[in-house]
Amino acid sequence: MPELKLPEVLDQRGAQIVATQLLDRLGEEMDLDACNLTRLGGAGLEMLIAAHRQWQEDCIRFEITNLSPSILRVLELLGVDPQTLRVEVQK
Amino acid sequence: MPDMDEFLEMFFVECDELLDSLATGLRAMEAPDHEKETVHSVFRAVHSMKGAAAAFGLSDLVTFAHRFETVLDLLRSDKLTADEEVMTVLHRSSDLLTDLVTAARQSSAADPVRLEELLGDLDRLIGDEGDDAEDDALAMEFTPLTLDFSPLAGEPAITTYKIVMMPDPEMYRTGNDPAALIHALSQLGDATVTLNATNVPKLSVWSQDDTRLSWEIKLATTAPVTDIHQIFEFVVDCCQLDIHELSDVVAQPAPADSLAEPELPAPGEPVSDLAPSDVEATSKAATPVEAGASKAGQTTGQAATIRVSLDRVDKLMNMIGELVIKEAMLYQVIETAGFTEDPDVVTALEGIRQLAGDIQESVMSIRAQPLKLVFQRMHRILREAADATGKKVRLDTLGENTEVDKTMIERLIDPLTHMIRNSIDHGLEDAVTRQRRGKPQEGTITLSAAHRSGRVQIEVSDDGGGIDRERVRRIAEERGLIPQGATLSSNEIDSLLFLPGFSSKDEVSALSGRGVGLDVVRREIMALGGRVMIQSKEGEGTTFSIALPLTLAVLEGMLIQLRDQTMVLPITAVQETLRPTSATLHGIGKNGRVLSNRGELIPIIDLACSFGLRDAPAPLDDGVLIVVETDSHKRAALHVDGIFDQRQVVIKSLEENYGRVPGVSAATILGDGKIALIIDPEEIVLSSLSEQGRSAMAFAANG
Repeated sequence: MPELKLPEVLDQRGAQIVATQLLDRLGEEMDLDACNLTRLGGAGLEMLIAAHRQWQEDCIRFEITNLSPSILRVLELLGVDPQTLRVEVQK
Repeated sequence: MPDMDEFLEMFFVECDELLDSLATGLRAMEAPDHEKETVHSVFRAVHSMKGAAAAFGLSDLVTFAHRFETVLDLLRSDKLTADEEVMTVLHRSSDLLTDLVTAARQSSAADPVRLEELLGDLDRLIGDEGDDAEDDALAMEFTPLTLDFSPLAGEPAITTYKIVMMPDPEMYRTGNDPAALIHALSQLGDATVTLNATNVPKLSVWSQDDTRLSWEIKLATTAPVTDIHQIFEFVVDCCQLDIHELSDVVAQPAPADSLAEPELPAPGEPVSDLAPSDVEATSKAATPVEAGASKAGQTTGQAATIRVSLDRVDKLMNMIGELVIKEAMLYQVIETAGFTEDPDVVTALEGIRQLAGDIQESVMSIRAQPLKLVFQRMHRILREAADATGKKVRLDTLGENTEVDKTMIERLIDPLTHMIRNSIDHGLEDAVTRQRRGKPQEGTITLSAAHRSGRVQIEVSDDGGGIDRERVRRIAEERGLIPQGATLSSNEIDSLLFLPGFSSKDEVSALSGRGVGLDVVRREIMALGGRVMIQSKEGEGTTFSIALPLTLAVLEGMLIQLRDQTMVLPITAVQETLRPTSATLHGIGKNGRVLSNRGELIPIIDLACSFGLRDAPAPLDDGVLIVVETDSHKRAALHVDGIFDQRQVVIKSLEENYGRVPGVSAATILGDGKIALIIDPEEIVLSSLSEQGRSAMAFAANG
């Protein structure tokens, strides 16, 4: 399973790094492992949404896994339903 | 909890601004192709005032504002057309609203007769077009409510705010987190967050320098709106922000609005002044992102202003004055020590001088306010004067944004008021005469302002009949103000108008019976360091020009020597300086000496004699002559022992610290710490002329 570990901090700098890594793997099924993620900033969220949009357009599976309760709380504050950041592809 | 008075003061400050935008809006509505938004803004101004007034139990104000607002609402919904009659009522209503606010400020009552009369007028407009039943229902709801500001005032009402936030890349770069902001908001009350991500592109074209996310937060809270602004305090300049109150019921009672925010919003913040329909329009017309973007500039602009008490600015101005003096002293010390040849010293000194000048200019610009504040008021004065005389008059204003010192703004109101009244009462002919002369029935008064060579020039001109010089002369003779048959030039006759007690009106009219004459205008302008001039052309009109200094704090002066004294002559009066030659000098009578200058013979005044520093006039071969001109175009040559320098001096009032001295307008402190007197050339010239047996004319021009 292709997997990418998200860094601890997904602020503007973190987002840029992850974006570059993701762009290298365009067209691959993607599991973003968020087990280390402790801080999600606005730029990080925007990057994740952009990535989701990309994978959705390409019709390739995209999922963020292992979201910690504190990150889930942040997503809730920001008005994001984690389910909307998934792309499921019917095989 | 802050004092109630503080809230009330804030309310009045806000009212001033609202009244200002109301008056501007109403005038804009007179234009045939005005935008609908103008009507909306006028409506909002009245609406906001009503809401706030209700919180303070100002029932007269609320009742009137409500009726006024109802009429505006009819205009807004095109049920009523803004024809001339309607506009007249609206203007009067705006004037009365100003009076009501003033009355509330002074805890007195406005003229009840006028209030009733205008309420009647407004009712007629409403009755003509509107639905009376609906109006009554509204009126019931708007019953003013007295607020108790004690902490035990019971449950404060909940207000819902809609906050749209769109972070700029800068906000992320500086590490500010939307989640933290939203968290802080949710601490204030019940927050519903909606993320708008529709504009986020796919990753391959995504850039972190082009942020697209925006949030819309609906916050139901009892906290004052200032608390919300406080949360965004540190991000306002890196985030597009729009905060406004949501009121979904069109006729939501204004008192309730105000209940929710006992701390009145800082004026200018787009909080409670959005009328319900506008909220709808915004949410319908634009996505949150666009709405945020459109308001962004506005929000940032508001965050960039602060209110500072005038005392502090005055103190700063005083200190700058001291700085200028100290700088001059430093220069003197360096000069004495003989370092002025050293290029380093010269450069450094020049730097300090430049800086002191810049600081002074900045402080002056803080104190500067647009003349609009004065001009605005003149519209009302004009309307009232036009009503009183039954003449049709239009006021054109030009250069409203010309800025002058705040102190001057306040002190200009009375003189200008009188000049406008004077122009309408005496300047403009009646409609019949105008028609006969082939002029439009409606008279025009033009009020203009402009910066002209370091001074501010304000002009009041009318297109009336001009000064009837024969009549002015007759009246002056009848009243014994001038000797019978005196030879007077046109200018001299014109300046007779400034004589105390001169009134050319044969019968005292409603306007001129106020005990203020043009002499008072002149005195007031002169007290401001200004001059008044008249230009008149028979049959075409009269123009009064006022020339004012930019500031009352510093003055550009010429440092002159009189025996062992240094004195300062204001540069504005100086026309030229010259060394006399025998060819240009003539003797008249026993002691009289005149200078032939530019085809004119002008009297020579020995300044040292005028100030009692010398008993008899000094011989003219040593010394310099400075030609000065007075307001009444009288010229004279002042004989002085020498000219030192030309520089800016800080004006220190003599009257405040010592007393009035004839021929001296103020004092200053020089670089060497000595006090130098600032000469009033006007007074010197006129008193000297009067000694030469022309006392009547001096009196005339001196006021």
